[in-house]
Amino acid sequence: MPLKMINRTLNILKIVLSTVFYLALPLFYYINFRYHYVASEEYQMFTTDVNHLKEALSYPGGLMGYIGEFLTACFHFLEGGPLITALTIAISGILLELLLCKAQKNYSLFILPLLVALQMAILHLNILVNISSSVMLAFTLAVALGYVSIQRERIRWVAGIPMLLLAYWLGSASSIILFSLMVVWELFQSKSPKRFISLGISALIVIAFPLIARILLRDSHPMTVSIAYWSEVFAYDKVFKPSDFFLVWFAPATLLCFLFVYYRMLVRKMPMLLKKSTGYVLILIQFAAFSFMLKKGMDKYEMYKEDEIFMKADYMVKNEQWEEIILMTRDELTLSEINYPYINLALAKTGKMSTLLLNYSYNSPDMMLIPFMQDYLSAKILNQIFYQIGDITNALHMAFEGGVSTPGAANIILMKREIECRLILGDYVLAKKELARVARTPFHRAWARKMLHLLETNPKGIDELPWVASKRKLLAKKNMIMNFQNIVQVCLPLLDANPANKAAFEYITAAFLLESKLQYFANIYGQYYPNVTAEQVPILHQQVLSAYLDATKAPLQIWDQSPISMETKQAFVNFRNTYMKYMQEKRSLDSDFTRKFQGTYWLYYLNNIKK
Amino acid sequence: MRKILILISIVCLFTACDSGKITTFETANVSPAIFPDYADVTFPVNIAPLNFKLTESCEAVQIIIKGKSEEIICNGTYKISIPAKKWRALLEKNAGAALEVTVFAKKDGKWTKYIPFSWHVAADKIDSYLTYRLIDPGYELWNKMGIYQRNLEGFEESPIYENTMNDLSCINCHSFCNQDPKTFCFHMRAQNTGTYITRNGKTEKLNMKVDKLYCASRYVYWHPSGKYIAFSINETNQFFHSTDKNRVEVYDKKSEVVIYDVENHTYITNPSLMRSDAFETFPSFSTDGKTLYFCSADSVLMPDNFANAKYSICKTDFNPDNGTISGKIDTIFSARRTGKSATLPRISPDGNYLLFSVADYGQFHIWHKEADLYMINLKTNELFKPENINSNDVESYHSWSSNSRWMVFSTRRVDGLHTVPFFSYMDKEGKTYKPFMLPQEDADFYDNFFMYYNIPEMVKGKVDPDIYQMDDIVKNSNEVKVGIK
Repeated sequence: MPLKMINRTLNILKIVLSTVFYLALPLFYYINFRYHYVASEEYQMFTTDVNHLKEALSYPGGLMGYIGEFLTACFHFLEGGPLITALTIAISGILLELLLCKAQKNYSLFILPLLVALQMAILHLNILVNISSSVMLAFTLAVALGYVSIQRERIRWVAGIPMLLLAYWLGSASSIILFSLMVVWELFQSKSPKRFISLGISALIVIAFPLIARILLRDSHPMTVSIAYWSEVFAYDKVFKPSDFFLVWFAPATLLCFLFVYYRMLVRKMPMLLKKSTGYVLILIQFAAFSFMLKKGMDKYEMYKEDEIFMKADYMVKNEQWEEIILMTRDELTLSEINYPYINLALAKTGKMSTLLLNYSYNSPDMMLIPFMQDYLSAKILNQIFYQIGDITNALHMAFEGGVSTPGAANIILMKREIECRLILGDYVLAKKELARVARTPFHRAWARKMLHLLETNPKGIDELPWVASKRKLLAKKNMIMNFQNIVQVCLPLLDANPANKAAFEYITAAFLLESKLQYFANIYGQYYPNVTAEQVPILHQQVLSAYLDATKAPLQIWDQSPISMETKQAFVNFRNTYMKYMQEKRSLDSDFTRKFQGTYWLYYLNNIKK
Repeated sequence: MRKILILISIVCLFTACDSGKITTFETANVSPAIFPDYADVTFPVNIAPLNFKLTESCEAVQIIIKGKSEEIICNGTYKISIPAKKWRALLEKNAGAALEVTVFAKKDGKWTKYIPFSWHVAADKIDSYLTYRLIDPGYELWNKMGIYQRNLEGFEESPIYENTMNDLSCINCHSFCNQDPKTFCFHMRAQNTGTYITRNGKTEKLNMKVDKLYCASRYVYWHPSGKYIAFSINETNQFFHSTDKNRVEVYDKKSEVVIYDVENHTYITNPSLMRSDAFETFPSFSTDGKTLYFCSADSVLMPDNFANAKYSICKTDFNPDNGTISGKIDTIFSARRTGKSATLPRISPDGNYLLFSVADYGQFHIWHKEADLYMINLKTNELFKPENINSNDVESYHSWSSNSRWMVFSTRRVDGLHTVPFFSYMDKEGKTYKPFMLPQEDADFYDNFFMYYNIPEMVKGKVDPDIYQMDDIVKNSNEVKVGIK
């Protein structure tokens, strides 16, 4: 086949492959990880005020961080994250393609830009990788493209210096990529010995400018500072830690250098490569690399896919879609423990805890409240639980802890929650201050402005907001030392303040039931609902009460007065007789017995006692 | 056209202050609502401009600051920024006198003149720097924090040390000896844990935990000679209230007071300050260094009896020549007699007054809304509540300027949560005046600031060493192990 035809075929293949890849990416993200992205909206507090922009411009990488922060704010919408992430990756890939074409159009290298794009796509499966990283890469590649587009050497060298400064100040450590490209470009493209002077100056800038910037930013830098600080200085920006710096920037930079050297040495100096079939080998190698990375990506996909269930549940909790959470998790066989606090919350909010409790494999009240690990994730989960059951003081506590432990210490969702708690608790002065901040965010401003307007014109209107009024009814009345790690201690004051607090009741009874504390369980009914009838009491609770009455050898009169239906009593008698028969025959409880009483509290109780 | 626009812009820029006076206006019979509330405050001759804003909406604002013979006119939209040079000159010429401040506001196209208020310029200077810790107003967790210094004669703020340089460790309890910027200490917890003591610009890292004491030193006060530091050793915990007006309770399960000999790296102890039936904490020295003040409460089971932990202020003799504590205890503020609890005794450098905080119970009053500042005249032993200083919210951490004329204290009076430093003047007769809030370049600053100022301490100059030297010491110096005498 003639070379021209091969090149045309490869070009068509390149266009088709790239188009498919870049179009498939947002769809892939949307189908598989859209809740990841919505959750990462929390990692920012982008505001539109000038001071925020000024601050962003005042340190290296700040502007890219600022843009990244804005883009992350757009993850507020389910489509926002997948679209924006895929778009920044596509821009970076296309810019890289253009850069390679600037050197020489060689169609046998058409997969290389896709390799970088794929690496970025895999990185973005991790919720903690900030979109700023892709924005920075795209920005630096655009500057690099500008640099290599300048034909006249002297102009290019002179322009390179401000470009490098600009890339450092706006893109921080990503300027290393620009410098790497400049070095490779000048080494192979130019023949003039003066290029080394230009490169020397550029190298000096790369080394010295971060130090100069630090002096400008902070204070006078003493000579006593050891050289060890240089690495820290280099990574000095508010977006990445040094480890991220190497992960996100050093790898692509090295890869790019390699690409160019590889290109210059192997391809351009041997123009007959394709004729000699080496070109085909090159394509095969690239495909192999692409497949290898794709495999690695699939492994990551599996890893993060499990988290997506939790992220989805988190999204549903935010939107109070309780039935949907139950539906989503009902058929999941391998749910990780982190999902249970939200499942329990959904069960408690719908009043289904007392009927579906034993359908799930958990067996401990520990699954109702996640231990507070002094981190953002546990704080945010606890915040949702406390808020939904009406423990607003603890919800405020956890909203604060979650906000302060969020990477970057800015969390729009938890800030909003703090405000909601303050409005419920009547702390309007602080609420106003925080609302003014939220009123400057792009996607929560309408809510904040509405609340601010209400506070300024008609503070009593706050009392009439349905979500405020309903939560105020649930507030605990008696002051006590809080233990927010014990579900019973959290819920008892709430139930005491308002016996109609269904969620608190569900949690307490479920905790006693699971721990087989029959006496405590019965006390809750006796204290708060002494006049309920069997029609009002769930079957599971009737089973617990019957177990309690039997264990305490209650007289018949008490049985008659209890809210236990005739059917449950008969079922209990049946259970008891069967059990006694097994005991008399000295038989261990077999699968027949288990099958017969599967799903009853009595069987759970027996197993629990055994444990 | 473009040139004309640029020219107009430049003219507008230069005439932002000192443009023409408002001549047509209506007079309102009310005082202007301004933030910060600087109306009728007393401030030192060397303070930065007291920029403020009108809290009600308006189209424009003009203020006229009138001195004995000259005046400054400032214009703004709703906030004003007083030019520093003119401000300084005006204050110098009017030291010891009053300035009249007239505010005009433009609403619906019409100017209104409000009732003027006064600014009293005290001739007594304030120490030129304020140091403080900035931290999120949290419960348990923190993120970025640091100890900072702010030039009170201007608006420049710089870090003394920031935890972003040390893996977000906790930095706390900074303290200066005689307001000297070259002699101070602070603690670091988590990474590079230790107490860092700087004397005459040289810093050493100390491991203050000794086997005989149950934990490392905590609350701190320098001996005026710089040779000793009084520390309390506290087993501190905290809990959270469910519905109380105070949300956090910081309490000690046990605590005692020791003195650290800086030169010999040893603790000096005395059984009277380490009683098992008492909680001793928050020590401080008298100006002559011969008396050690501290807070003491009968020990109770904590946290169950937290409301019964009421602290008195006591004192005992200390001999700085041989480093001995007499152990004979006198009570100068009695919790039993008053039913209240006192903390943080701070003696004015002239030795005349003892300033401290009083609340219903406990010793960590920064979380007590009822906490107010009290004083004892050490010459007459008269206990009194200083006028004009206290509010309905917290007033707690407090300290003195080196000339004893200025007090700085933390208060949550602005929004109920974020503590802000306020400064109050005390004249030679012991009269205190309406305090003013730490001035900022932008009058909107406090609306957008979500950290709180912790442990405000005035110092006489800029702190030495700087942050990079300090970081070098934090990360690379060997720690000195402390012993017991």
